[in-house]
Amino acid sequence: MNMTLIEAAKDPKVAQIVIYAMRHHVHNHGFSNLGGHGCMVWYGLNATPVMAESSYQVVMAALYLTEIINATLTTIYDNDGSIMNEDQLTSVRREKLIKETHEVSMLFSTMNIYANSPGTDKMISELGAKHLHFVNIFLMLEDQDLQ
Amino acid sequence: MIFLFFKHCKGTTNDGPNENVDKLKYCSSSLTTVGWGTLRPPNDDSYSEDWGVRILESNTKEGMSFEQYCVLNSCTEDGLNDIAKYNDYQEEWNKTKQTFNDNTSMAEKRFVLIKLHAKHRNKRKYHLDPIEGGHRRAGIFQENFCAQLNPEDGSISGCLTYTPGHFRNSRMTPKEGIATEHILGAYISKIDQGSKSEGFFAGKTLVHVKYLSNKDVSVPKLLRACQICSEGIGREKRNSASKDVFVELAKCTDEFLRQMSDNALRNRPCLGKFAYPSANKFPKTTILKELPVNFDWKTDRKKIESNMRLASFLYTDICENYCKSPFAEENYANFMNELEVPRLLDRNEDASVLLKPPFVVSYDSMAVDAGLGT
Repeated sequence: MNMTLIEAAKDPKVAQIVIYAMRHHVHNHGFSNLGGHGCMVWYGLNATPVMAESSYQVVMAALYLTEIINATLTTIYDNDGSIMNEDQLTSVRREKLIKETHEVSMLFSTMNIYANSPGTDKMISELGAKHLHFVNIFLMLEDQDLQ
Repeated sequence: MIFLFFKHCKGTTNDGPNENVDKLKYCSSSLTTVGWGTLRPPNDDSYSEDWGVRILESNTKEGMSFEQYCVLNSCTEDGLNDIAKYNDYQEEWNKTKQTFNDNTSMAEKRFVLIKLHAKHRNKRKYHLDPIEGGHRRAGIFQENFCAQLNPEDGSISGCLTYTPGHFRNSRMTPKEGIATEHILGAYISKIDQGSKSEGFFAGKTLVHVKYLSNKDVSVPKLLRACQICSEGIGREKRNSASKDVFVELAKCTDEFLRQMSDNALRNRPCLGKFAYPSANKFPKTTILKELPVNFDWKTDRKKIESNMRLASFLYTDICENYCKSPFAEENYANFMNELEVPRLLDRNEDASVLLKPPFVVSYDSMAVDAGLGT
C-alpha cells in the first residue's frame, strides 16, 4: 500500500485499532499482551486470541518499537559518573540523548526488507573488477562537427 | 558510459532484463553507432511481427532513418533541432527557442527539449525508452545532466555539479587519481562555458572521456549489472522518507526524543496521575465472559470505562482525538499537555517543576514507579 503515515492515520479503521491498543495494550508486558482482549469487538475489531497475526501485527510492532525507545531512554544516565554540577550534568545527558537518538533513528531507518540488499558497492565489485575501468582518452572535437 | 539498444516484443512488460538473449537482437555496445534504450513496438493496428525491421528501415519525409536519429548529438543546436523535427514537435521547439539567448546553457536547452519530448509522447509511434523504466530513466537523466536526483519527487537539480564525492556517497569508489574534471560533468561544463565566439563552439576543446574498456562483456552479465544499478536507484527512492514507513518512524522518533527539555533531563517524572484505580502495577484483568458484548467505543465510553477500569486519561476526548488524528497540531499539543506531570523530589511530587514527555527513565526508576502503581 503506497500511503503516507499521515494519510494512514486519517483512516477510521486505523483509528479504531490505535484507540483499542492505546487503552488495552500499553499496560501489560510479555506474553499477556500477545492475546486479544475480549473487548475487541466493542471497537469493531474481530476477536483474536493472538495479536501477532493479520492486521493486528501492527499493535505488536508498535509496542516493540516503543520498547526500543524506552530502552534508549534508560541509557541517558549512563555517563553521569560523579558529576554534581547541574549545568554540566544537563550538558552530558543532552549529548548522550543526541547520540542515542541518532542510533535509534538509524536502527529504524534500516529496519526494512532492503536492509540486506546488495548495494552499488557490490555491483561495482561484481562487474567493475573485470569489465569496467576508468580510462582516460583525449578526444579532440573539431568545431565544425559541433556546429 | 554504457549504451544499449533493445527491442521488446509486443506485450512484453518493461520490468527488467530479458533472459532470452535472442530477443536482444539490436543490442550494441558503445563501440557501435546505435543509441541506447528499449524500443517498444506500436500498440495500435500498425503492429506486425516485422515491426522492428520496419522501423530501422523506415525514413522520415525528410529522409532521416531511425538509425540516423539514434546517433544525433543532443549536445549541439543542430542535433536538438533534428530531434524535434524527427519527433514532430518542431513548431513548439522553434517557439521555445525564441526564449533562449546567448546566456542559455546547452544543458538548459537539452532539458527544455526533454520536457517537450515527454509532453509530445503521443506523437511518437514507437517509444525509445531506457530499460527498466523510471529508475533507469532517472539514472540517465542524472548522468546526462550530472545532477542530483531528488528521490522524493524524481526531480533533478544542481546540473553539472557531480564530483567524486557524489560517487563516494553512493558507495562507488572512483579509481585513484580521478578528479572532478574527469567526471562526465566536465564534458557538459565545456559546452556550458562555451559561447559563439569562444570556447567549445568556437575552437578545439580537450575533453576527458570515460568509457567501457572491454567490449567483450557478456550480455547477461551486463544486464545483471544494469539491473543491480537500477535496484540501487530504486532502493534509494524506496528508502526516501515519504516511501518508507520505517524512515518516517525514525524521523518521528528523532523529533520526539530531541524535544526533551532540560528539566526532563535533570528530573524524574511523578507519574501518580496515571495510576490505575486498582493501585496495582497492572490494570485489573477482566475475563471475557464478564464483559457485555453490545458496547460501542464511539457511544459507550462511560460504560466501557466502568467495566474496564484503566487510567481515566485513556477515556478522555483528548486521548481519543489524538488517536484519531495524531498529526493534527492541536491534538498533539493537547495530548502532550495532558501528559504533563510534576517532577518527583524525594519520593514526593513537586509541582514547581513540570515535565512533558519524553522522560528520562532508568531501570531503577521504572521499578520504583511500578511499585507506586504507575
